[in-house]
Amino acid sequence: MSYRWKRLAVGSLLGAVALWPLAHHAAVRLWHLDPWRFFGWAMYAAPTPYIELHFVERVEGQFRVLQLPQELRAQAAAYANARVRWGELYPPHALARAIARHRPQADGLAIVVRRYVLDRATSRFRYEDRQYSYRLAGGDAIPIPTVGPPQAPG
Amino acid sequence: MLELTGTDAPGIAASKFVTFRRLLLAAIAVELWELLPYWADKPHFGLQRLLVWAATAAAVAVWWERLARPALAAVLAMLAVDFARAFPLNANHQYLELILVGLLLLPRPGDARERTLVLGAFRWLVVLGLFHAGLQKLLHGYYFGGEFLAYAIARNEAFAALFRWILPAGEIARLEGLQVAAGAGPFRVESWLFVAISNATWVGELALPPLLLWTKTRPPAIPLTILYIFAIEAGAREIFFGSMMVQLVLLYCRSDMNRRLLPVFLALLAYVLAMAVGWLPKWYFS
Repeated sequence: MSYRWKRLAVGSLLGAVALWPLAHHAAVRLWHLDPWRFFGWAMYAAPTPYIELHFVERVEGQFRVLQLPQELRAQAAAYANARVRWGELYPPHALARAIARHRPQADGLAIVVRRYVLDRATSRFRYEDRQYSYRLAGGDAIPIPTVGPPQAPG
Repeated sequence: MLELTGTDAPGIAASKFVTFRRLLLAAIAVELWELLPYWADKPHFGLQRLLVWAATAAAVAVWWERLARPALAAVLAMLAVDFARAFPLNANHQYLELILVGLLLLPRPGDARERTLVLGAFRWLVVLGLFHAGLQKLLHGYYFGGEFLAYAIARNEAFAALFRWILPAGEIARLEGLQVAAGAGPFRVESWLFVAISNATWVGELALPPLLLWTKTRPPAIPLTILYIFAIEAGAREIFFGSMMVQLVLLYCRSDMNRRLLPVFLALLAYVLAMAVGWLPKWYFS
C-alpha cells in the first residue's frame, strides 16, 4: 500500500473515531443502548443501566402476573443482560416464544421491560416501562404493536 | 490536518514508535495475566492461558526489530479473538488497543514518514478521546449538580474512598446506603467543592484538547493533561487505560519521554503482574 493510501486510511479511521461518539450518543438517547459500552467515550458520563423484567399472561380471558418457571429463568437473565447492552434494538421476541412453548394454556403475553433512570430534575431514580405484547398460539408468540403508554394488560 | 498534533524529527519518531510498541505489548500481556483468574471457571480456560503466554512471548519478541511485526500481528489476532468473544461487553480501552496495534502494523519497517504518520494519529486519538469524554458528560448532564459522582460514591467503593477527603462521613454513609430503586435519592451533595470538582471534570476534558493542539500552549498542556489523568484514575482506578493515555500524551513531547520513563512504566507493569499472579497482595489498583 502506498503512503497516499495509508494516509487516507489513517484519516478515515480518525474521522470515524471523531464522529462515532456522536452517533453513539444518539443511539443511547433513541434506543437506550448502554452508554458505557460500544466505544462512545461515555463511561462515567451516566449511571450504568438497570432493568427489570415483568411478565403478564392471559389465560381464558383473565390477566395474571406470571412468575417465570425455573427452566426459563436463566434465559430471562441472559436476555436482561443483553437488553441492558442493546436497549430497544433487542426486543424480547425469543424469550416470548420460549414462554409460549412452556405456557400452552395462555393465549396472550406481555413482557414489560422496566428501565431505571436517574432523573436530573429530582436527582432520584424513576422508571420507564416498555411493554411488548404477544398473541400466543400453537407454541408461538406473535408480536402485537403496543399503542399508547405502556400498561399491564387487563 | 494530520500534522496539527505536531511532527517529529525522523530519529525521534523512530525512537517514540519503538518505545511505544514495547510498552503497549507489555501492558496488553500484563492485562491478560490480570484477567486470567476470571476465566478459571469458564469454558476455554486452556485457550485463554495459551493466549496469555503467547501475548507474553510477543511482548518479549517486540524488543527485537526483526520480530516486532510478527509479534504485533500475533497480538492483533489475539486481541481480535478476545474482542469478538467478549463483545458487546468490551471495555472502551479494548477498542483503543485494537486501533493502536493495528496502526503500529501500518508502517513499513524503517519508513520514517509512515512512522510519523502513525504517531500523529496516536496524538489525535488522545485529543479525540478526551474531547468526546467531556462532550458525553456535558450531553448526558449528570455532572452539573454532581449527580453522577454522588451516584458513583453510592455504587463504587473507590469513589467513596476518594471523596472521604472532602465530604462529611455522614454524607458518604447516606450515599452508600442508596440503592437503585424508584424514588431512591437524592443523588446530590450540598458542597460547593464537590460540585466544582464535578464540573471541572468535563470542563477539563473539553479544554485540554485544544491546548494540546495549539503549539504555544502545548508545553504546559502536557503535564496538565497527565495530572488530570492521574486525578481521574484516583477514582476510576483503571491502571491500563490510565497508563496508556499517559503514554499517548507523552508523544506530544519533543523528546521520547516514554523512553526516559520506560523503567517507571515497566516497574509499574511488573508490580501489577506480581499482584495478578498473587506474588503481592492486591492493593489500590485491583
